[in-house]
Amino acid sequence: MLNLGDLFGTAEKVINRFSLKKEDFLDIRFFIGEGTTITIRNAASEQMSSEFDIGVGLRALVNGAWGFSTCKGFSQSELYKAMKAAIKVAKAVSGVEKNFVPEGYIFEGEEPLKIKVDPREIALEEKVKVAVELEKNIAQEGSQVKVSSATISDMVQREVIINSLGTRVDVSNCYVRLSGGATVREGSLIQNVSESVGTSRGWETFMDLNPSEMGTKIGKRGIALLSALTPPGGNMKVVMDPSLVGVFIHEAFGHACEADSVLSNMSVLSGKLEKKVGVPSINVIDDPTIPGLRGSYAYDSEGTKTNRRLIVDRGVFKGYLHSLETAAKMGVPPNGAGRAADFNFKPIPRMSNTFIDGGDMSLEELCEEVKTGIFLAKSYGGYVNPAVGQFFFTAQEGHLIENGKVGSLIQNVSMAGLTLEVLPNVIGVGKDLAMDFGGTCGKDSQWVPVIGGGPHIAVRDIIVGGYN
Amino acid sequence: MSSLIDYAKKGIAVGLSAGSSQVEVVIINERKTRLEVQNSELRSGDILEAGGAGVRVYIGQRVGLASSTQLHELERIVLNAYHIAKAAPGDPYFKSLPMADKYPKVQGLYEKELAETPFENLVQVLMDGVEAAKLDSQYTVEGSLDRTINEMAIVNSLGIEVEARESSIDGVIGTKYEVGSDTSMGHEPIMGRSLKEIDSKAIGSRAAEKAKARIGAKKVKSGEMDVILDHMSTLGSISALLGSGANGLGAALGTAFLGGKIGEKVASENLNVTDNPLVPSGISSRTFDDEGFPSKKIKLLEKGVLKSYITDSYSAGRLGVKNTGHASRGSLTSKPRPSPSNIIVASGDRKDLVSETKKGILIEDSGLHLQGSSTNISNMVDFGFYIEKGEIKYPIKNTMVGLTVFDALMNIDAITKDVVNYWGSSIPSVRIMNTKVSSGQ
Repeated sequence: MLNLGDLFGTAEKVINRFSLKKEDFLDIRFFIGEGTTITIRNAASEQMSSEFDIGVGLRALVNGAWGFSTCKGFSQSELYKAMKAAIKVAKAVSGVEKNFVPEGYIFEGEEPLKIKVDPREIALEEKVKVAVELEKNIAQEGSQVKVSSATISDMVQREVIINSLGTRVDVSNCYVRLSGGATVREGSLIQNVSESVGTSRGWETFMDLNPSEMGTKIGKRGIALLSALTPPGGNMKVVMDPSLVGVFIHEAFGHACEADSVLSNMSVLSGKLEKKVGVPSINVIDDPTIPGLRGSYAYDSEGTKTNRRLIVDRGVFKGYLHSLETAAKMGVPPNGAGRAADFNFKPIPRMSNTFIDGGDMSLEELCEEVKTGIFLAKSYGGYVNPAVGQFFFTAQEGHLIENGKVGSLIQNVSMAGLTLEVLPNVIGVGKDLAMDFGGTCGKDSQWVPVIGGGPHIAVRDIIVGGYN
Repeated sequence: MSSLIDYAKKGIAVGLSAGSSQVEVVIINERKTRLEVQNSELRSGDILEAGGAGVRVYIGQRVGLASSTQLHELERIVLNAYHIAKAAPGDPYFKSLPMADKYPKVQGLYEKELAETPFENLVQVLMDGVEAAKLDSQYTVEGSLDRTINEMAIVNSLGIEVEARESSIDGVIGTKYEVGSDTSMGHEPIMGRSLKEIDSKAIGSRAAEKAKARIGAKKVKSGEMDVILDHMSTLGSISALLGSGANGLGAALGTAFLGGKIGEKVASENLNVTDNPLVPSGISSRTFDDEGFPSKKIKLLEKGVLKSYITDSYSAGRLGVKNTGHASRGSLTSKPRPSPSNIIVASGDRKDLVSETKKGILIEDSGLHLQGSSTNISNMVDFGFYIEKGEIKYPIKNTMVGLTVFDALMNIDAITKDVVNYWGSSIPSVRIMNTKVSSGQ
């Protein structure tokens, strides 16, 4: 770790220079991020970069309104000036609505990196070797692979958080990710496939991994899609793989659980506490405490100790994801979901590791249940409008389900639906829980590492947007 | 301003002394003021200090990039990039960073009044819009407003030494409209280079009108029908289709669906498209691109025939064509890639597309987007209406369109005479024939 002196002491001196009313609140968050990204594309380096970001985010809740400012220096005078700016802005925007944070939730702790091998200590050449191995094996699957690419990235972040209530937290996290992709082409048909592995562990993540096998698999999947059927369109029964379940539960449901959207009346899950939102076999969890997963962390960006959040219990909606402010407004304890991408952003309620818990059916049984429909696999991202509850996401590939069996391969296709209609329309939950939608989630221009997953799930009445 | 160039030149000297063959330094100083409205009330204000330095170093054909928010560490950033380049595999297709050329003049990229307007004035602009959008208690309004003042310098070891100062304002007013358990949304962007361009009351009113018109959405019967893209959706669709299909990097790699088709008819002959980064006060306007190379206007489609790719120095060098000056950098650590700027689609001859459509849907405020470089388009209709016998019947929900990128360009059979100017882009509304529409019925 960098020796930055007594950050707690400096920040406390700054906070103590301001006289606050009982309901006012100040916090200072130091941020240090160090990382490298290496992308090999078609056997050449596409990107080899290092990033070193240092800065401070300062919040002031004064007269019931929030002011936020940033500075890049860590000295007492720079912090004082920035906090004064935040207070000035808070006073200027103060209006009818009064925001507040809860009293009595004061956290003190230090969470150093819990990794075996620090990626900052790995030579660049070694990182390049992993990416080259992955890319080479994607490319060698055939001349139809027009672009083969592999990206290996690591980021170590440290946040030191001090607030006027007494919270003092120093937390470090490490995120590593290896992803490979292929763009394949036959005549005018172009298809994309990709896979990734991302964790909050250290370099040891890649010591357990075989990049050659991963590359071969990606290349073969891409080439197979060139002879796949064009996708059908219509209202269908669908079996989603764990990756699609992950993107569904994250995009369609999870974002609507974030309490800021509920409080601003922009969530379809407003007013749904203790109401039935799915069939009894559905349990939804957001859990940042699972060691090593991509969305794991010990303290959030407000310094709140985080915990496991049960969102849906046997089909009944149980709770939202909270920052300090949203918890105070809803009168519940904060649950450590206030995350910020870096010092340039304010913490807001976010997901971590979000999944539907496993059920009791095999994939074969799910397909038998569906009889005729479509099996969608390998997410390629998506988005949702949480206020209306309309979602959209893309599968890299799929299969027709005919006579209750997985049939012919189909090209990439997207699906859409209405959030509140999907979980009640689940007709089967698989028993093969897997976390398979690892990535970086964007909200309000902030990107944070997350993962989603679940078992295979069968649902009726999903709109599939093909053209056959 | 010139101190930024002088400072960047110090970084160039460090890189060359270390043994680099070519060096590029980008310095950005950005000041941002942000306002946020939730639940129809002003919630927070931010004063942000962003930017930093980004360095690209070549040792022969090996590249290294490094960045930091800490400008005073420029020497360390340059040496970091140099060490990364030493470890990188070479790119046999890299030829050179760009060289200096003659630069155009573009008016209206910086407005002193916007840059210096007090915080309270920005609050007033946003809240005027919010008030206009909240017509009654059935509306909930959210919104944001960013004022950005940006100073940038790009210097490279081949003689490029350019700097720019820009101001802009951007944000959105979003309204949720509720009738019982039914909800709908309307959004309107706030965007411009100067305060006088912003009529926030009109923006707020339009957002409210849109939300109200979209209440009571229904699913439609799946089938083949015409798809009308409103002006905003046409802008999104044409930018996405040509930004990907005519992308110089994609063409060089073999993944752009229009690669190798210069001079060929790739779209309806009704379609004439140019990309013009020199439009005065355009939000994507500039005198030079993100490599410091002069920006220029290019013709992309003429009567449906592909006339040019969108290129930067790398893709132009690899394709053996002229650099069109369209390099765009996602962040200080990223290598630039070609990207479109202000898109101009020529007007057509139709007065009104809805009245001429027997059966179809109208897509508003979204448009077609691509999934990677796949040639399949499979999109949800975020906001749309069902059309029958030349009339809008009702708003739609849970509806998707499926087609290929080739159909999207070739099947445009009608273009409106009227165009709407969107902050530098100029766009009509278009109709795509015979498209598969899937929905809940």
